[in-house]
Amino acid sequence: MENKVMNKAPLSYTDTVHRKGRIWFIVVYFFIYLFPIGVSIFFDAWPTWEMFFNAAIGVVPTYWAVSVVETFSYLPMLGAGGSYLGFVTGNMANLKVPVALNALDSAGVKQGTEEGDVIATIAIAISSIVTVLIIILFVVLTAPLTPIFENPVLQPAFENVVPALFGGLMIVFIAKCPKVGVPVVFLGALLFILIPSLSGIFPLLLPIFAVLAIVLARILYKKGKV
Amino acid sequence: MDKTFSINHPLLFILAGICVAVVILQSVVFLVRAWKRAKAIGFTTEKLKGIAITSALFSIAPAIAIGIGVFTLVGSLGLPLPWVRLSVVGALTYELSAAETAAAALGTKLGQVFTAQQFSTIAWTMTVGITPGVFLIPILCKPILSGVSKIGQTDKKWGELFVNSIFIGLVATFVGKSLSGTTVSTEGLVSSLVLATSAVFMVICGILKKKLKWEWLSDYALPISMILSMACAILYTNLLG
Repeated sequence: MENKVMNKAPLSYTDTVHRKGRIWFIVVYFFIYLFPIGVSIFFDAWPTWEMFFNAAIGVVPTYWAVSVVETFSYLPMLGAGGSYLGFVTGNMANLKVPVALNALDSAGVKQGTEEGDVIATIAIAISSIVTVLIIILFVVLTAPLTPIFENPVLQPAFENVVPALFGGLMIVFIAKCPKVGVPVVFLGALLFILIPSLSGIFPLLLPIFAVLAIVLARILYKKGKV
Repeated sequence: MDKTFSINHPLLFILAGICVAVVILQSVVFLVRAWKRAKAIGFTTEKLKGIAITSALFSIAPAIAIGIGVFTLVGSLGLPLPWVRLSVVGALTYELSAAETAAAALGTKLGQVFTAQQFSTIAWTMTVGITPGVFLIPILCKPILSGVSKIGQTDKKWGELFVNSIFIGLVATFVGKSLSGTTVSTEGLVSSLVLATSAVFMVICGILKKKLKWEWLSDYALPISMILSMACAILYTNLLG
């Protein structure tokens, strides 16, 4: 028995990153669910299955699909340590990936090597800490103001947070991919204006519009037009 | 502790704070380990400090944009839920659309007063939506990086187009929904005007960025458009009665 232990090769840096990364993911996974579980227990407010199913049907399939593609796309760029960290704090495309690529470039190392892995991990860890601390600063500064947000005069602003986001976002995605964006967004706008009652079942339309956009993109892609 | 539900109940701050603290701890643990390893394989402290400082500076602008994102949700979801969801895994686009979809399925909408059960359903929906990103990494990280799995070597251009298409579907749905009440009610008309206003501000930001070479505006264009068009919502509501 003792011999077996003695003969066991020590784990490489990369192996220990994978092992510790997996353990940390399980820990973080638990804490992510702590919020809804805590709310449900403390206020005795568990959602019914029907409520949960109706709420989740629109967004879950769409976002799960995005998650899968993002995992395959970003993982090779971030390396092991960077992925175990970066995927927890999110904001991959606009923050973690550029930070990691910039650090690799300035260190003159490539991803896929141990040097690349440690440098990307350092960059992403620093980026995650800075991001979380700045958000905490916002929370601390905003907390005393929460009673002001309940003022009825401000309510129209918060009732319209969705159009406020999607007006701007519409421009972003139409600019990114106009051949797919313009017809699909136009169709969405037209349908809802002509049949206002659709807004009552919009979660069901979300995956339909997503599939429509994917099919159109695939046709244009195959024809070499995007 | 008072058990009367509120979207800013102290317990919610405690739950969110614990989760965020765990994430900071994970980052510190990984940082210390990678730093030690980097020195062991020949990087100088100066080089590593340089990388750390650049990474920190690079992160400030996007982080402020995320902070503003939290701010835009405070009036409808309180402070703790947007705080935790935007600090861990989430992003504003996803969290806001998940919350609105969940609220609609419950027969209400953002900006209304939620019961504890409605709020918990929204929190569950937002959390379940981000779950695959969390469980795929431990399963796929090693096989993809060690080259055992070829599945990661997908067509990059198509991958990007695929994700953009999903977002276009999302945008089409929510743009449509925002416009659905245009001819039905004053509230609907305000919603449409806010959508248009936000789009106009976004275009203006794009022009300013291009003409004046204000690259920094990239991170702030969306939050600026949101905040300004939300402020206009108050104006439109007062004007249209």
